[in-house]
Amino acid sequence: MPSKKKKYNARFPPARIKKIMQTDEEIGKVAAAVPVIISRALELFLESLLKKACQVTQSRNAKTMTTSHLKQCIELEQQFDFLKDLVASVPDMQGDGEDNHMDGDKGARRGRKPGSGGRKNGGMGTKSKDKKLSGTDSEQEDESEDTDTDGEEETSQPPPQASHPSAHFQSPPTPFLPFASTLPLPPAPPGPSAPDEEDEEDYDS
Amino acid sequence: MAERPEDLNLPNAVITRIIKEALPDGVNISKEARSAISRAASVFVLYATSCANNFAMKGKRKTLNASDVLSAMEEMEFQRFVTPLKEALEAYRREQKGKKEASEQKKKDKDKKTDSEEQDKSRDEDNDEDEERLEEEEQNEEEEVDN
Repeated sequence: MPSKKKKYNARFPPARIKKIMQTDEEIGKVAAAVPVIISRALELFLESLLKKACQVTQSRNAKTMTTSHLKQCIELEQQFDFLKDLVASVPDMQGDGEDNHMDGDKGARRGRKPGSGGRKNGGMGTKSKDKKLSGTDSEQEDESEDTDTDGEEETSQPPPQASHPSAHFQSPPTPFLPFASTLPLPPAPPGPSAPDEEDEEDYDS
Repeated sequence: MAERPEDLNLPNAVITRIIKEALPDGVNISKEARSAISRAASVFVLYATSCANNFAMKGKRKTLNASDVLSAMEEMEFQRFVTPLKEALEAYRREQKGKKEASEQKKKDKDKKTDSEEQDKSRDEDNDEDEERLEEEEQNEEEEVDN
């Protein structure tokens, strides 16, 4: 036969309760019996709140009581209305089941493999190779601006859904696009050379 | 002395004890929920105090008393607390009365003791005086004999 749970004589210290009471500037003198009564009322209140929150926890088939369960309990019971501000920032519960009682920020993180350097395609991007090929400094500056906007594109993606935590999506590799030179071209040497060939020479150099 | 912020929290040990008592064996509680319960307790104290203060102000009194707290509980829709709180108040008053009587008894005993000590002292002094008088008389007699 299991042993009965030990009955504690929980008693909050009246001096501490009086200190808390007197943080309210409107409160003047307090009779000696008042903190003692409030101490007992506090025990009854906590017992009541915990019992009702426990019912919510058990109705969700969960084994651990969370702030979400407390929030639901506070919103269901009219007598706990004064605690609504306390749980205003707590996220609402999602669907049923025990797995849903994590507090939101501890879900499985989805994203890149470690060591991918924060780039979508992993390793070096295609554009970093192109920098060596590009002829002029201004072209490199243009590219660096492009990579900045690349970062913005990454952040502006919608947040990943928690339903498929292990999926890794790879965007297709971006095709190589040659950049037009922004500097004025040097005067063409006299001769029957086509302008297309000049451009190609620029990139080769 | 400036108050520290942790002085305005209720003791974690007592809150943990109440949680342990209220929850059934299979159910645990997260750290965040435990912290929320502690804050809820402090909010309850302030809310009850504020309601009780309203009743004191209605009665044009500057001191909060037990009846204000009981009225506040009814206003807060915790009517079921009133009976156990009245019992707690009676128990507290009995305890205080017992302490008062004990201290009065102690005081009486102390007074009795000091009285008896004073009587003993005065008796001793009387005896000393008698002895001195006898010695003086003996000396006088001896002097007369010498003469």
